[in-house]
Amino acid sequence: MDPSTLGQLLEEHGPALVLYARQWATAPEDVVQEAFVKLACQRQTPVKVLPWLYRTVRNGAISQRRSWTRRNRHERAAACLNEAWFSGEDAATRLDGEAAAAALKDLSEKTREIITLHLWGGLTFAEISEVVRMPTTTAHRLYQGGLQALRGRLNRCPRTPETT
Amino acid sequence: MSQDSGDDLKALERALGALSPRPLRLSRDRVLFEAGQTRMRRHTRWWQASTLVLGALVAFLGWRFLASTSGTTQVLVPIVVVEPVPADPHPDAAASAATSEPEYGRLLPETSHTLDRNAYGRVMPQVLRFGVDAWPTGVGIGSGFKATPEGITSAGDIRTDASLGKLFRR
Repeated sequence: MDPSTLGQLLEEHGPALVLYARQWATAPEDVVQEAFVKLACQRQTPVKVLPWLYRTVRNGAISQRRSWTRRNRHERAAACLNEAWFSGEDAATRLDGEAAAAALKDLSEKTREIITLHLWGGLTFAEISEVVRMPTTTAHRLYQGGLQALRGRLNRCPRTPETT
Repeated sequence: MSQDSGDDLKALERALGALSPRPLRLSRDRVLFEAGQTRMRRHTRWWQASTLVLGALVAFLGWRFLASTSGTTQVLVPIVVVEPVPADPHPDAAASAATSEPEYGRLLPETSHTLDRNAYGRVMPQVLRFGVDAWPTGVGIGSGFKATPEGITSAGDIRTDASLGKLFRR
């Protein structure tokens, strides 16, 4: 793969990949960088680059979580809590990023993974089923259930009134 | 009701999708540099590995070649040398002595392997008691006795033979 395509992929999908890796890894940027290095070292470019990247990031992040769990569980928990998942508040919907991240963290790991892949990764359910190794219908059902759970959680948390 | 729920979910989906993940803290140039470096390192590592394997193979083959040509194994082949018996300086004298003067020992049973021990045990006390008269004729007594001097076939012949005195004088 040529460097320009690699750079374009990094700019377009890097933040979503980091968000995806953040669910497991304490240093998600390192995981994403390793995934891009692996992609550059591939003799043949994968047919579906984006699912391949997400799959590689997933494996790397899970592997990093295992190694960090062995080293120091408390450090890992503190690091995860301090990191923000989203850049801030969406101006149009006034949805708080921190509240959304907190609601996402309450979901099950698989559901959160599917929602992240679809909403911020832009993957179709067919591609998601390849990444997480589950049937498409199951992925879709988990996604719908996750959205309903998120709606319930976000409605329960009243937003602070705007002071204008 | 379900229509409202579906609309709510769509709205939530749009709102969540509008949230942008935290900006990337990775440098694009750094990632590309790392990718290129790793790629070249793997390429170099392949050459290093193949060089190492070939070097080890050459060293092994060289060692085998040296081991086969150094002659470290010794094969001992026993050689038996048969020396020729020195020729008798006076063959005629020895031959005449052998034919003209029979030795007394040649009248006795030659060796134990030619002697029937039972026969010898029977005859020997008789000879010691009655003298040479009791000497068997040599035929029919035992297979171990031979009257080797030609012409002497019995003890009487030995006693009366003119050569007997000569024999005992010696």
